[in-house]
Amino acid sequence: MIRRMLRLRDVERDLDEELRFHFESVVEELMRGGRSRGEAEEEARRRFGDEDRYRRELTRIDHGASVRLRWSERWDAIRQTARFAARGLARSPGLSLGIVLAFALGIGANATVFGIVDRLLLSPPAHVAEPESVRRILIDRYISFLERRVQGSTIAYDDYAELTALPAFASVGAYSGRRSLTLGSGAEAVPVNAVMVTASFWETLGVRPAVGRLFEEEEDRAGAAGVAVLSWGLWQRMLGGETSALGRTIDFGQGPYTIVGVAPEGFAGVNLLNVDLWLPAHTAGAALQGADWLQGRGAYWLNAVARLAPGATVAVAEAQATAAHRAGRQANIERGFYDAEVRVLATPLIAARGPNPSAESRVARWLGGVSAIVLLIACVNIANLLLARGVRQRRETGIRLALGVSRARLLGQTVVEALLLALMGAGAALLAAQWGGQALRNVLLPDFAWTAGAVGSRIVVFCLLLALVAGVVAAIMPAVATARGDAARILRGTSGGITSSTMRTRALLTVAQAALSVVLLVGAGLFVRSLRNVQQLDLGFDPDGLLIVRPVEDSPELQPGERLALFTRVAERLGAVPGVTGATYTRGAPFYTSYAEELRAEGLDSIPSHTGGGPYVFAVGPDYLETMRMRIVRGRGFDEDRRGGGPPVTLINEAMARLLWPGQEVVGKCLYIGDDATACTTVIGVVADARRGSLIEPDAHPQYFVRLEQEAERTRLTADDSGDGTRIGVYSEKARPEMLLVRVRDDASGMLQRVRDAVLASEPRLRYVNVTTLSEELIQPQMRAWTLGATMFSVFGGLALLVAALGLYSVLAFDVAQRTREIGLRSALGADTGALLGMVVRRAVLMCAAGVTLGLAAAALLSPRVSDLLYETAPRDPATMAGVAVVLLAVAVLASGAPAWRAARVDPNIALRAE
Amino acid sequence: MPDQNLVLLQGTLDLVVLKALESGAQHGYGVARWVREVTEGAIAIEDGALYTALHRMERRGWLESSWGVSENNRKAKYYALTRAGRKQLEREAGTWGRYADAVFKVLATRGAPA
Repeated sequence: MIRRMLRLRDVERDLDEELRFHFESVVEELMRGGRSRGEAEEEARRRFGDEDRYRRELTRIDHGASVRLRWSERWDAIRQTARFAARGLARSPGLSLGIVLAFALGIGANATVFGIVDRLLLSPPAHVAEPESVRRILIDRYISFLERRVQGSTIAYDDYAELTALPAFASVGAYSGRRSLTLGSGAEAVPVNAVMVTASFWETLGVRPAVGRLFEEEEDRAGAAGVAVLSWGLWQRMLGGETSALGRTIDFGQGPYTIVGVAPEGFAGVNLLNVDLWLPAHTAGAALQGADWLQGRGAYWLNAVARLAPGATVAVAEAQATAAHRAGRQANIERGFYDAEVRVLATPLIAARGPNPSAESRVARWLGGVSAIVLLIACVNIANLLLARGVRQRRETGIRLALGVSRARLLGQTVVEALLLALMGAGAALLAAQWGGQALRNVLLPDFAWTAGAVGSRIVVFCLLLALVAGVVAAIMPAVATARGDAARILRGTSGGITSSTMRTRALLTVAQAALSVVLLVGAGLFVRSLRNVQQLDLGFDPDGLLIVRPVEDSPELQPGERLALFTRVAERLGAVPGVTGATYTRGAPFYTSYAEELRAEGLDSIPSHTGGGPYVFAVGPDYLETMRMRIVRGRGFDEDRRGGGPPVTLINEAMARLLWPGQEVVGKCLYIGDDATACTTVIGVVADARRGSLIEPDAHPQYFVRLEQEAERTRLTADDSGDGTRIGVYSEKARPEMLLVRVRDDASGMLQRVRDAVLASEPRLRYVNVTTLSEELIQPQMRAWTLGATMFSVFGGLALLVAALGLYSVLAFDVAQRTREIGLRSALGADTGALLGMVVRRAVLMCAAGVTLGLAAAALLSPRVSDLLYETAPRDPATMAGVAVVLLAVAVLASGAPAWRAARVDPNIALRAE
Repeated sequence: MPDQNLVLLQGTLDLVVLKALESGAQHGYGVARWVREVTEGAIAIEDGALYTALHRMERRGWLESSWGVSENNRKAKYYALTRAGRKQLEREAGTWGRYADAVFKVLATRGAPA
């Protein structure tokens, strides 16, 4: 500051000195010429001019203020240009509005998608400290029955324990999958998603609690008193966000757990799905999963994350972890049960960047691309509209060029105009993203733990950047066209030059828009077809109108036998509820649980292997097949064995029949189920194939169905035979019913409450009854990728089509307006209305056809890259492509309607007299 | 259009000042005297405007200044052309020459055809 003032003083002193020399020299010269000092001084001042003004000017130039001056000059120029641009825009409000809308659309689509793409692909999980040094642990191994390598994240407890000893990791944490629990009882019961984590999980991620504390090492030990950490959301929902909640206890059927803290808002661990409750793996895990899960290598229930030690590289960490894992699994590797080439991978925390990203994140990637195409279309359209404006203003441009306004200035002005419009568009886009983004989240990714609202600062910054880029991109071509204009030719009024080349450019841009729309619409068509194909799949059972009912018992849990009795009573009670057409209890259900059992089959040395694994057994109630609406293709159902007690029977599916006894009569054959079984389980029927694990199983898995009561009998016998008391628990688990399936007449979701009330009323000992629709719980999550793709491609494709239609319309309308004279002449020469109509429509269809051809070619090039996201739909599906072509041509004819009509109505008298 | 007049005047003024410095460094008074002598007073340029041009062109890097001692032994600020200044002079002089030629040609013709 002081130095600057000194410099200022220097500048003024220098100027004084310079001017003093000047005046003295002039005065001396004049006096030498014979004037008096007074006259000479007056003459010198006269020659110099307004001294005060020049002094001020010189001072300003000199003292560094020149820098400020240049900036302010520049700022003035920008303001002037902006004012000029704003005036110009206000002069054609319709066109300006169109451009703003196009920008809003393009930027809005991107802003809406950005929230999702950002969460899925770009941002690490919230609240993780230094996320780049935290890695997900994956096990990459060959799984023989799948006949391929799989990168899985689930590991057993001992796998986790050996990772914690490695020097390459500063810390390793483990977490379980989500498990649904019920807090409280009766009407106040709250279903929650709980995740069990080790105490080291918190340390590894570097998470800090919002309130209270996270659990400590000694609280995460077998036998420790139960503690719990609530999610921010549950804390708000259930306890009103009161700090006094700390120290209170919650009960999910395993005794009291003390609330010690609240996780930060939006924290959902390292995955994206919502978590309500965090429990210590060693206490809650043991209580919920069985203490035996806390050791050994048999139970894959944990996932691990590890923070690299300072200086450790990923390669070193992977090498150490792989060596430790192979050593730990040595026994099984030697016996050939476990892949000797197994590798442990330490992959990025952002799962989408890891080796097997979820389908959602891959769709999100496409969404990013798709919204970029929408923006591109919008830019093309805007360029088109700006060109039209440029043509309309070419006289003014000519005059300004002739007046010596520099081309750079004209160019700058077009860009400033476009930027102004883009900024307005960005504002509108943010509004659109506010509700659009929220709607999109609710519909497409409902169960995600979103950390922020749909519009955050990142999106605002993103929008502004987009507006800048889009504004410049859209302005380039019009700006060049404007600046290329030749003043003389424009003023002479020959509409040649600028107009015809501009018309050509505009036609090309229209073709480009059509082509881009075609690409999007083909995408939409492919995804919609895939979704339809998935929806119309014959699953082998009818998923619509099925409810899943899970009674939650009071602790301690009932013995399997008592539980079976309870479920039987509930099923009978539900069968009498109005609107319910069938109810059954079961242990297994498709997309839920099924397992393989030691098995021998009559006449076979061993069970042939099937690519899908199995055969899988479902232990079910007597009305299962009927309630599920599974088809019995041979033999009979379980009707004659309602109470169990009779000789053991089974139904097998067609795949199993083909696998075991191809071409033979299978009814009456014997299966021997379980280790060293000698008792024959008679096949009484064959069931049509049905899905087991996922909607899109390539071939039906071999499955068989046994009666739950008989399974209880069999396993109890097995346990008695072995005389080993410890095995009773394990084996009798297989006779434990998991859920009830209830078929209702029509509106499944409307029946939820009635079914819940009926069960609670008849069984007062139940703490809670969890009722969901099977479709919502088990099927929709599997369809999410297609739903996401179909919705987004359709919405964006539709928007793109709209923009392209508007673009086409504007080009044609402008064209007709420009050619009024020519059209008038033709009409005067006797061209009839039809010919004039045809002239305009033909032009539209020609442009559109060119666009369709280009677009289909581009789509054909691109679509194979989505083929793995499609289902039973060829990426170059001809029907889709043909459909899109027809839609586009129809739109072209529609868009050309109004301009064609105007052309046909041109009055030759007026048209020819004009100009 | 005062704006354009100013641009024109400034360009011409710059050309004159640059030309004055072509043969060597000179102080502001020297430039003023040279202009007056060469144009025989035909172009009235205020001395203040000359100084403004000098200072402005120094800022633009066409001139550089240094303090020296004048013929009559007084401290004076001398201006000299930089390389960029010399280039600017050539460019401006060329443009101006072509412009003048064209105007002369126009004036030399007998008058517009009827």
